[in-house]
Amino acid sequence: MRLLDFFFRKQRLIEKEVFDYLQMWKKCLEYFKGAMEVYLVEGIGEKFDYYVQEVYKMEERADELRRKVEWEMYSKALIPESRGDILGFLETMDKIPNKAESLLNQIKLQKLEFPKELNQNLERIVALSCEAIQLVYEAATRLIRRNGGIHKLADKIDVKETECDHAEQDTIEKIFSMDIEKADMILLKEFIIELGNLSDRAEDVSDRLTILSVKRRV
Amino acid sequence: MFYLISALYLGWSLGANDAANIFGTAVSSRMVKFLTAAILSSIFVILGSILEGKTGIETIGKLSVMNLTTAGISSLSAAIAVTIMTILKLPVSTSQAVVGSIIGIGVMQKHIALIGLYKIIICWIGTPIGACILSIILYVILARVANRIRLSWTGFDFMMRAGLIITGCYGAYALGANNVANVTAVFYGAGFLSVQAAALIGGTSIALGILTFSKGVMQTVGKGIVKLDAFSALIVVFSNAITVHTYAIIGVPVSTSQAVVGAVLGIGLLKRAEALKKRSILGVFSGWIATPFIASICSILLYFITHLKYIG
Repeated sequence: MRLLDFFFRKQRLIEKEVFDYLQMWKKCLEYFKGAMEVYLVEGIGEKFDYYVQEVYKMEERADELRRKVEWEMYSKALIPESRGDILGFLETMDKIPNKAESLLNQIKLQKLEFPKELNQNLERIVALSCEAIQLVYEAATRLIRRNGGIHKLADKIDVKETECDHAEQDTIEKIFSMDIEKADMILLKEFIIELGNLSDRAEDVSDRLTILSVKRRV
Repeated sequence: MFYLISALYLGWSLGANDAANIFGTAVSSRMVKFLTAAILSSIFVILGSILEGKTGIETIGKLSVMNLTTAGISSLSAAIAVTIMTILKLPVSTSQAVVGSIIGIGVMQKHIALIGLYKIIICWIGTPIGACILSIILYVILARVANRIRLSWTGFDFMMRAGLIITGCYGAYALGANNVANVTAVFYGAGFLSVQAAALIGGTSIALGILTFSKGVMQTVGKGIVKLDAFSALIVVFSNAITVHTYAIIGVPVSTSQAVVGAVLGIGLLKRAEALKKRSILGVFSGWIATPFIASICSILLYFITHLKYIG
C-alpha cells in the first residue's frame, strides 16, 4: 500500500489541493451569507466590514490554491483530458466567489440601503442562492470523488434557480411599486438582478459538472 | 559480420518505428517521460526476444533454404524496401518486408515452404481483425470494471497512467517476442547464428532503435492515437500487446501498426464514431500487398546481380 502511495503521491497532492480549494470556496460563500445576514439586520457597519474582509481573504486564498493546482497539474501527474477538465472546472467554480465579492463591493461602495419592506424578499433570494451554492459544493465534491448522483443534485439546483428567478421578479415588481426615488429604484433593481445572477452562475457550474461527470464515465 | 549489418539496420528501424505503437500515447501526452518509456521498452523487448522469440525465428528461418549470402540479400532487400516505403511516407511493416524478400529468394531458388507461407498470410489478415474483435471485448469488460470501482478523479487518472505503463511494458515484451524473427531469423536459417544468439542480437538492435531514434516517431504517432480518450488508448495498447503476443506464441511475425489500426477500428465501431482515417485502413492493404511486393522485387534483383557470371 505504501508503494502505491509512493507512485500515487502527485495525484494525491493535487486531489488534496482541489479539496483545500473547495473548502476555501465554501468558507468564502459562508462569509458572504453571513455578511448579507448582518447587512439585512444591522446595515453597513463594523460587523458587516469584518465579514466583507473575510470574503476577500478567502477569495484570495482560493485563487492562490487554484493557481497552485493549475501549475501542478501540468507536472505530468494527470492524463491530458483531465488537465483541461479540471482547469475548466476550477475556472467555472471561481466565478461564484467572484460574484459574491462584487455584490458586497456594490453594497459597500454604493452604500446601498434597502427599505425594511424588502428585507423578507432579499432574505429569500440570499437563502435560495446560498442553498443552490451549497448544492454546487456537494456536486463538486462528488465529481472529484467520482461518487455519482450529480444529475440529481443538478435537478435540485435547477429548481432553486427557478425559485430564485421568481423571487427576483417579485422583488423588482415590489421595488417599482414603492414610494421611493426613481434613481433609488434603478439602483436597487440592478443589485437584485446581480444578486439573482449568483444562482444563475450556480446553475452554470452545475451544468458544467454534469457534463464532466458524463465525460468521466468510460 | 558484414552480412549482419543490414539485419541490424532492420532491427534498429523496427525499434525506432514500432515503439511508438506501444508507448506513443503515454509519451506524446507527457504522462511518461521518453527516457523512462525508452528504457522500459528496451528491457522488455530484449526479454521478449530471448524468452519467446524462438518460435518466430524458427518459422521465418525455415521459410526458404538459406545460406549466408541469401540471408544477407534477404535482410538487405527488406531494409531497402522499408527505407523506400519510409521515404515515400507509406505505411510500412518490417514483418511483411522480410517475408516478401524471403519469398523473392525462394522464387529464385525455386523453394518456398508453402505451408509456412500460408500460415503467415492467414496471420497477417488475422492481425487487424483479431485486434479489432479483442479491443471491442476488452473495452466492454474493462469499462464495466472501471465504472464500478469507486476511485477519485485523480485515482482514476493514476490507474490509467499505471495501466498505460504496464500494458506498454507488455507490448514491448510482445514486440520483442514477435518481431525479433524479422531481424535475425534468416541468419538462423542459414546456420550462421544459434536461436539464442539470433534472439539476443535481434532484440538488442530493436532496443537500440528505441533508445536512439524513437522519440520523434512516438510524438507523431502518439498524437494520432491520443485523439482517443485515455481509456480507449489503454485498450488499444493492451489489444495490440495481446494480439502480437499471441502471434509470437504461434510463431509468426506480424505488424504492430496493423494491430493498432485494428484495435482503433474496434473502438470506433463500438462507439459508432469515425476513430480511424481511411488512409490507415488503406495502409493495412498496402502493407499486405505493396511491402512484400517491393521487398521481393529487391531480393530478386539482388539475387540476380550476385549470381551473375562472366562467360568469356
